[in-house]
Amino acid sequence: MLENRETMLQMFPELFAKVPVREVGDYPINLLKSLSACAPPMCGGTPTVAVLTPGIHNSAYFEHSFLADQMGAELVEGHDLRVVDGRVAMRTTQGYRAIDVLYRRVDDDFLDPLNFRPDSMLGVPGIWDVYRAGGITIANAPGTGIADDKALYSYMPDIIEFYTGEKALLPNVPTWRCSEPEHLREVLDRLPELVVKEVHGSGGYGMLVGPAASRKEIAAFRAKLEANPGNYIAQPTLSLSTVPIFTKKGLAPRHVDLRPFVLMSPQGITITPGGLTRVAMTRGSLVVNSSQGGGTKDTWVLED
Amino acid sequence: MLGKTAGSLFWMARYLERSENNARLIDAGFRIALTRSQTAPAEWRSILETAGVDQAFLATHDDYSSARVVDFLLRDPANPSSILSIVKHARDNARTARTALTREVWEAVNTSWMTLTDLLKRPVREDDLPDVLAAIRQQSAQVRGALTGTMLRNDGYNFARLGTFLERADNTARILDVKYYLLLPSVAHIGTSIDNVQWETILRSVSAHRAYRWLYGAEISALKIAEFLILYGQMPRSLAFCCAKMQDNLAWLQRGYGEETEAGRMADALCRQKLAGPIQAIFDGGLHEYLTDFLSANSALAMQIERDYRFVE
Repeated sequence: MLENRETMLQMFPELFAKVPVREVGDYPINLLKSLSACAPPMCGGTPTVAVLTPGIHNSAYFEHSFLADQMGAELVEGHDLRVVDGRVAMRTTQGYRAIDVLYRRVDDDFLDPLNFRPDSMLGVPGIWDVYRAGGITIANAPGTGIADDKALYSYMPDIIEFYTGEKALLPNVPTWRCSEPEHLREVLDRLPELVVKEVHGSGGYGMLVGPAASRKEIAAFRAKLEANPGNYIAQPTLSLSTVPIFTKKGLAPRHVDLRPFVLMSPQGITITPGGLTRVAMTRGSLVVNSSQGGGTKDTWVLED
Repeated sequence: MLGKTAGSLFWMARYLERSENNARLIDAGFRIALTRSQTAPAEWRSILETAGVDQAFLATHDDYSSARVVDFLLRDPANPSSILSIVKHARDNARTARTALTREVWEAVNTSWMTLTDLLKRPVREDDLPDVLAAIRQQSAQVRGALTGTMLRNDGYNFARLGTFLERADNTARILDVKYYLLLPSVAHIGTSIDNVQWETILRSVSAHRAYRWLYGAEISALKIAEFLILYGQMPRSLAFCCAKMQDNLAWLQRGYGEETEAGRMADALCRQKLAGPIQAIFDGGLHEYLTDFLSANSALAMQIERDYRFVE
């Protein structure tokens, strides 16, 4: 998001002179404020924030180092950290120094080899115990990955109503949970027109886009679905919006979706006036994921 | 600053310095190979020894032909010190220390890696070698320019500088040690002045053949060359210069952190005991013994820096 804006500013400065586009540049500072606001009670004074990365071989390493740099926070790996006197501390040139808030970009399973996957080289032995004793804030909290479960999405209207007592303002995409027999029956009947996704899937892998699939692919997917229905949800094939992109043959429409950047802390919710627009680079494709060659675009929110 | 970051800055600088040194060694060897082909194999052997990869070379090769040595030094994956491996290591370290580098430095290191990886994709033809070696030196100059031009003069800068001078001192001492028999007084005593081409190779491999002439004129003597490369404090690749810089950078670190370290004491001792001169005293005690001592003190210092500043657990 930030690099896209930077690139646009360099290539089309005149556009920004004419159009009142809202700033996204303070996202890192807002992120730092949100993280600092989550510091545990054990923290005295200004919270020490660090970003935990799996390391330079991770595909998102650039983003991790960029955010750490912009926040002025240390970028740490598991082997920089250890538990010292009941706190998680990083090894500095002057000795171990306690960390109050760890913005972690390492999956739950890998966080602590003593408590989760014993083969993890990316985590910190014992961090889970410090966390449970309130010695460190881990953001996002372990377990929040459940929000990535695509079946959870189908409950969103109910969740919103439960917590706010109000109906959701934005309608949900109708979603069938294949774990439920009557849903499954309907999905199997209408397979060629639906999109079916794995509940734990990500990156646009392991999914069926019915209208774009061959008969053979649909038959193969039907078998997988019948074998393990609880692993899937289905949705109608959405006609994602398109935006023009520049191809070798000139301007052409491509499908997009939007990744908003929303920060939540005890101080409140901050919505970044911009975001990451993800673009499917192949004509007609609905797969916008960067791991499958998707592109991105700068996204503007205009001043009133 | 994280210990790991300090270590990555230190090693990034060491690898960058090493790539430049190796390019210079190849250049010196290549010159000999062009001008006096009968001594070329011996020359290549001493270059491989200086780079510390003689054994690795012999494991897969059985003769010192120019083309094969050059290819080994530039791009052989079996050679951990090939230019190709070194620039990759330098970039990996820069990536790890990314938050401690300015954008300019990172881009210079990254560009250097991309440019050299591309140039060294295929074996380099003899005709192209001078251009490739020039490109290696130029890339390294660009990184150095970005470092001195844009980095805060903080602890991170000190660690990078320590890496540079530690590596450079090591390199100069090795060049001298591999050739020390040429500089023995006995050779000078029998009246034959040092072989012209040989001494020029030594000076060329530290980019100092012109500077030497400006300083000492046409007089080529073992004592003078050794004095120039060991004790002459204004020569940026001399042991005295490198050690003084290490001492400075360690002094800055100790002051900044408000903590004296064993590494600081070792650097002071190294300067006091090894670089006070005069050169005659070094020759009297044995040049080879002196250089062996220096090399081991230098690498002990490197390990102490690593410990004192917690590069690894």
